Amino acid sequence: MSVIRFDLDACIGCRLCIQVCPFDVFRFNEEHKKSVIAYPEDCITCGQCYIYCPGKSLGLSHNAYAHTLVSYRAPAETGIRRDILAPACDELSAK
Amino acid sequence: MKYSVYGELPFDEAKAPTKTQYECDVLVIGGGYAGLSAAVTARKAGMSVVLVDKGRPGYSGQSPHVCCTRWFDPDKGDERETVEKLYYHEGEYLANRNWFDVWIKESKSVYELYTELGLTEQYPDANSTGFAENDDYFGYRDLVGNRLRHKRFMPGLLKNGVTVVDHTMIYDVVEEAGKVIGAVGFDVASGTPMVFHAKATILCMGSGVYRPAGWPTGGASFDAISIGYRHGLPIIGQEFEDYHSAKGDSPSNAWAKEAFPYLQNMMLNGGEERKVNLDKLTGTGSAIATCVVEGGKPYQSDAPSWHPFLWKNDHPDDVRNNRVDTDEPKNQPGGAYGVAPGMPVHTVSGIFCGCEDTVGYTGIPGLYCAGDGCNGGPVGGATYAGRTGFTSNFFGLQGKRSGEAASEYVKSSHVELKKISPEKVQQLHDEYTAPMRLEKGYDAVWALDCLQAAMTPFWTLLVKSEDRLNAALVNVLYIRDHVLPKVMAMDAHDLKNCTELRHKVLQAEMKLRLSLERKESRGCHYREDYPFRDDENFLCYFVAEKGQDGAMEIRRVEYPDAWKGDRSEPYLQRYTSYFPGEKEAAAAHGLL
Repeated sequence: MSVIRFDLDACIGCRLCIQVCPFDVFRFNEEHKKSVIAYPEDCITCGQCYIYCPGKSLGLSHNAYAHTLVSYRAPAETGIRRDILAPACDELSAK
Repeated sequence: MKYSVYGELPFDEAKAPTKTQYECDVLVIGGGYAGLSAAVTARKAGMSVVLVDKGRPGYSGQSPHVCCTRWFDPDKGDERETVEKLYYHEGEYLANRNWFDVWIKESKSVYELYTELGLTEQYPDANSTGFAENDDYFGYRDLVGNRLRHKRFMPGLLKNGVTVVDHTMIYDVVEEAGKVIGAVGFDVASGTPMVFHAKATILCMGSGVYRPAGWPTGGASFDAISIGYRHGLPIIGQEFEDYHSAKGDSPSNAWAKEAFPYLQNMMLNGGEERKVNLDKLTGTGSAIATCVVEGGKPYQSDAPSWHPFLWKNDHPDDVRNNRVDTDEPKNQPGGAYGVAPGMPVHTVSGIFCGCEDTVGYTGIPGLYCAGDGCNGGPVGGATYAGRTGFTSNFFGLQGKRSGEAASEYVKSSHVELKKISPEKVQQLHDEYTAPMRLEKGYDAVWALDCLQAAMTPFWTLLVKSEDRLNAALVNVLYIRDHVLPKVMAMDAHDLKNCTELRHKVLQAEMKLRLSLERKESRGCHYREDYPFRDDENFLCYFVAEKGQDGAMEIRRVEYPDAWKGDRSEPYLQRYTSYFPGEKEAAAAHGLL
C-alpha cells in the first residue's frame, strides 16, 4: 500500500507532502519544483499527503509498492545498489 | 542526484538542518497526546521546552487518528464505583489502581487542556453532512477545515512557546554521573546529528509495530522501551497483543479504514458506565476472544464482541454522546485482523516505574516516561480496559503528570544544564551510522519483512503455544545475531529504518520471552496450551530487563493484593468472556 502519483502537472511545489509525511517518503526536485515520491516502500497510506495536497496530485494504492519493492531490494551478500532497476539503464546504474 | 522509482523525478540528497544543537530545561521526545500535554504543562510551569518528533506533531504516529477522548465527570452522572467495577474487571485484575485513581481525579483537567488547545471542538460528522455516503473526503475536509484536531497540534505547541524540532529521530538519551542530561538523535532526511542538552527528558514516543498492514501505526517503533532497556530499565506488558483490524475489502490501506475517523471531530466519550447501563455493557475489552482466526474466519467466543461504537449514552443533554462510526468493519465477513502486528494493546505496556509511581519517573534522575508504549503503569492491566478515549485522555494525563514532575525536579533540585560532550555525540553518531560503512549486507526493509514473517502469523502472535513461541524465538534470535549486524544503509534515509529495526527485533524478543513466561491466558494474551486464567500462579507482572551479562532476563513482579479483586467470586463471574478451550481446561483444573 502506498501513495502514487496521480498527476504530476497538478503538483504546485508547496512541499506540504514533505512537511506532513511522518516517514520521509517525499523529497523535492529543485529544478522542476515538484515533490518526488522517493521511498514509496516506507509509505503506510496514512493518507495525509493525499488529503492535503492542494493540487490533488497524489493517489493511494491498496497494494503498490511495498511488496514489489521489497522483492527488488532482496538480500544479497554481494551488496545492492539503490538505483533504478529497468532495461537499458547502465548509465544510471553506474552513478 | 538520486533516482527514484516508477518514473518520479530524481532528487538531491537532503541538506543538513541549519540548527543542530538545542538547550532547554525540559526535553519532550515525541509529539503525540502525551508529548503535547507534557510540553504544554512544562511550559506553564515556567520551563523552557523543546519537543522533538520523528515526523511532524499532529501527523505522526497514531495521534492524528485518535478518534475520541474520555474523562470522568461526576457532574455528568459518572459513578466512580460503577466505573471502577467495570474497569478492574476488564483489566482482568492486573490494572494499576494508583494510576486509575489519578485518572478519576484529574482526567477532566486533561479534557480542559485539550479544549483550551481547540482539540475538542465539535462539528458536524461525515454521516449527517452526506459526505460519507459519497466517500467525498475532500469535500468533507474543505467543510471542516482548521477544526481538525491535528491542525491544532502544532499551533497549540507554538502558541504556548514550545520549540518544535520535527523530522528528527532520537537515537539515545545520555547519562552522565547517573543522571540523564539530554539526548542525541539525527535529522531523518540527512542523517545529521542533532544534540539536545536538557535538564530533564520525557520519553513520549508511543508504542510500536513490526510492520503495519493497514493501520497507521508505522511511526511507532518501540523507541522508548528500547532506550529504556538499554539504560537498564524494566519493560512490561509486551505479551498483551492488540492485533487490530482493517477493512476486509482493502486490508492493506490504512486510509480506507481511517479516512473519516481521521477527519471527523473527536468523539467525547463517557456516561455509559452507570449502574442502570451495566447490563448492556460488554464484559471485556479483550479483542483476543473474538478474533481468533481459524481457516480465515473469525472465531466468535461466548461474549458479545467488543464494539464501543454501538454504545449509546442515555442522557440526551450529555455532550458526550457516542455515534456510530462510519468506517468500523463491524465484524464484516472477511474483516482482516492482524494489521498492527506486534503492537501491545493500549495502556498495558512500556517502561515499568513501579506500582507506586504516578508521575512517570523511571528511577534515573532526569528521565521520565509518558504515554502509550512508553509508561507501563499498567493502567489497563491485560486489556484496553479504559475502552476508547484513553489513548488521548489518559496518555495526556501521563504527559501532564510527567511534565509537572520534570519541572518540579528541575526547580527543586536546582539542576544545572550539563552539555553533552562532542565525544559522546561522535560515539553515538558512529553507532547509528555504522550500517552506512558496510560494503555489503542486507536491506533493512527486507530484514523487517523477515521479522514480520516470523512474528505476524496468528499462530505465533495471537494463538500462542510453547513450541510455536520457541520456534519464533529461534528465528528472531537468528535475526538479532546474524542479520542485524549486517543490515546496511545505502543512504541517510535508511538510518531510521535500520535503527527502528533494531528496536523491533528487541521488542520481538521481549514479547516472545514474556509470552513464554506467562503460562496462562489473560486479556490480550492467549496461550492455546494454557487457555484459562490462572489466578493461583499468574496474578503478577513480568518484566524484561538487561541482565548483568547483557542477556535479556524475565523477572516476576508482585503487585498489591488489593488490586486482585474478589478471588472468592466464581470463575465464570470473575471472568465473563472466554478463550477457545478455556471452560474445559478450567473445569479440568477444578476452577469451575
